[in-house]
Amino acid sequence: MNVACDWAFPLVWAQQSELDSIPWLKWIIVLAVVFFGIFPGIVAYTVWGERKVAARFQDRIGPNRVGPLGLLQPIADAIKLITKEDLVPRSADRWVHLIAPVLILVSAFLVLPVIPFGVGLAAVNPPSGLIYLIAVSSLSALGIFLAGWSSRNKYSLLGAMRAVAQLVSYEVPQVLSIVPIILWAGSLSMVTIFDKQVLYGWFLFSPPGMLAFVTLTIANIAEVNRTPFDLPEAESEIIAGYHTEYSGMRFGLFFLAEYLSVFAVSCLGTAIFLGGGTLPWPLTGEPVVTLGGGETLFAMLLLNLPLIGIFMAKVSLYIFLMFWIRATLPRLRVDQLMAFAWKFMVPLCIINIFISAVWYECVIRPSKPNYLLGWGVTLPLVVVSIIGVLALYRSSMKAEPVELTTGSRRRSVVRSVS
Amino acid sequence: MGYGRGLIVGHWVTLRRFLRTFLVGHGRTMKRRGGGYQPLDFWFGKKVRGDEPTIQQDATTEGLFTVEYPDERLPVYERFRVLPMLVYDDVDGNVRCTSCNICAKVCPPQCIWMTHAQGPDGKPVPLPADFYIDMDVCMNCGLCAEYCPFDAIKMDHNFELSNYERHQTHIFSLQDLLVSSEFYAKTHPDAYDSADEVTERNKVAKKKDQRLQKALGLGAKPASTVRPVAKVAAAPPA
Ligand code: SF4
Ligand code: SF4
Repeated sequence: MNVACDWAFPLVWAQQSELDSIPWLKWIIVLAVVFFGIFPGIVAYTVWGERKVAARFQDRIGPNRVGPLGLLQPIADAIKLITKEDLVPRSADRWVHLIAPVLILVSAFLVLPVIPFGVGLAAVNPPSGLIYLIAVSSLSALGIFLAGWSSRNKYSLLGAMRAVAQLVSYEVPQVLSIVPIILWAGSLSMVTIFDKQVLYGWFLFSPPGMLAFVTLTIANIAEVNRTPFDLPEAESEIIAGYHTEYSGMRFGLFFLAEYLSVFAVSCLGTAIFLGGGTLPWPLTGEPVVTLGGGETLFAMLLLNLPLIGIFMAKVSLYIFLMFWIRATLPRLRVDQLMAFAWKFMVPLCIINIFISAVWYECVIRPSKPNYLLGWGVTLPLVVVSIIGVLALYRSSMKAEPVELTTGSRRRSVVRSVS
Repeated sequence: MGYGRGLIVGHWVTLRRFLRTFLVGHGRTMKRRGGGYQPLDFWFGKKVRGDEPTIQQDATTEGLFTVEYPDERLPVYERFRVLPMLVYDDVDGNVRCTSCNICAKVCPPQCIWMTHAQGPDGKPVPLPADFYIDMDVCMNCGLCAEYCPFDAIKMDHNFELSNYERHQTHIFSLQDLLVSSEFYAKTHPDAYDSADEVTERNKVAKKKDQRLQKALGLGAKPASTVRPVAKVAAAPPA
């Protein structure tokens, strides 16, 4: 059973009390299998799925030439990327140019060890798991900026600037919409959050929970640079943004990192709001309640296989949601992006923290939870706060841009005349 | 000014499109297949080149729109036109063209050139000895076919003309351009059966036969014994 749960992260060495006699060999094998097998495989088939789904959204078929249903397409793509020439611009900063994609990839990988895929299947369970998660996922902003800076290309630099502005802005609502979970679970540990949901049902099922889930999803999409927040790599404006100057497998690393972080944020959303691998409300905590408790290897397998299956189904749905949004919405402007983060998302998330405190008082703290009171009080609060913040946001958006554009245009006219 | 109504409607529209590709049209079944559509796709199950199924599509088609081209193709309509072709009558093998040079003159990009055939006595015969079209230059306008007084040059349907070499193969000679009138009747049935072309055909056949016989100095020899001109073209008089 340990083989299954020890897979990812050297921190475990410090935590594990019963190390096997040949831990090194085991670690190498597990790392090789999981890091060079399972995760790239998940990424490859996420890409395949995205191409198929996006095609269907546009009345097309998608890849179907390489293998049955195009299933071998990712392998062909990987071979192509690996065998392509690796170009580095002459004026680029070689080492930074080399390190940047690795840094982004590492950031995406490091999120995964704390995710509880099943019972006992979180590779590490630090007491401050959520803080760790937020910290490592913000590493990618550094990687993106290094990539754009080291390329010595104006488009790369523009993309990197946009990326940093966007990632830093959307990290705030992302963290703020996780706060209700911390409040309700009373812990930062991902495993504790999972256990609480087994006991009390998904954290999604409350008005503030739903609002937090929506804001977290929006912030997640912005964090992984997907449409409508794909300004850092907006191909119609700045070629490919920060990875314009990358080719071959280095570009492949960006690709890998992007889809791995899509997978990672989907895992995050699933683990903290959608109850990990458990079933929804009428069957609260179901596979764990009936199948849990066994200590043998067989009992662990019996419990964890359905858990992982349900978890992956939820993750797929979450990723599908992202594809769906990508197929629907056009790209935002930079000023809209910033205004949306700071004038809409952040105030709403802060208000939502207070509403979730109300929910905590009504439902979670009392020994006998009063769901009716909780819904009755928080639902109107949530609705009113959404409408209020939206109205404020709209009125602020109406006034400014008009003045900005006319003002600057007049100024430029004056300058060209004089 | 609604609060996010556009967002919701937009997402519904795209989701509907997504679902419809599975629910209506040929996306619903696995029946229509190009390569890779079946769970297992074997090379020996493929149709021979040119024999691929033709897909009818129009403005009312719903769901998937993709026509997987080399494995399926869209229908080619009669008035679709690519390169010109030269028609010979398969009754007597006569090339209809009289080498009158009209098409070469009207061709806007000037991509037709030809030489007159000569009879045994050195006199010009109303037949082309050589007839060339530079297919890289031809713009498929069809003017040559419109102007030809003998219905000799017609527009073809074959658009699959790519090649690895361009200097030799892209200059189409008489050999490449000749097609039988039977072929023309098959690809252009409406035009072939139209009253215009029928009368024109009869008239021209008679006139041309007379002129040909006169030029060859063969007197009143019946048309059926004239040597097939296609062969003359294959070995033009030196
Ligand atoms: S189709 Fe037009 S361009 Fe082509 S040979 Fe005829 S007249 Fe010239
Ligand atoms: S194809 Fe027609 S127009 Fe052209 S030379 Fe021959 S007979 Fe004249």
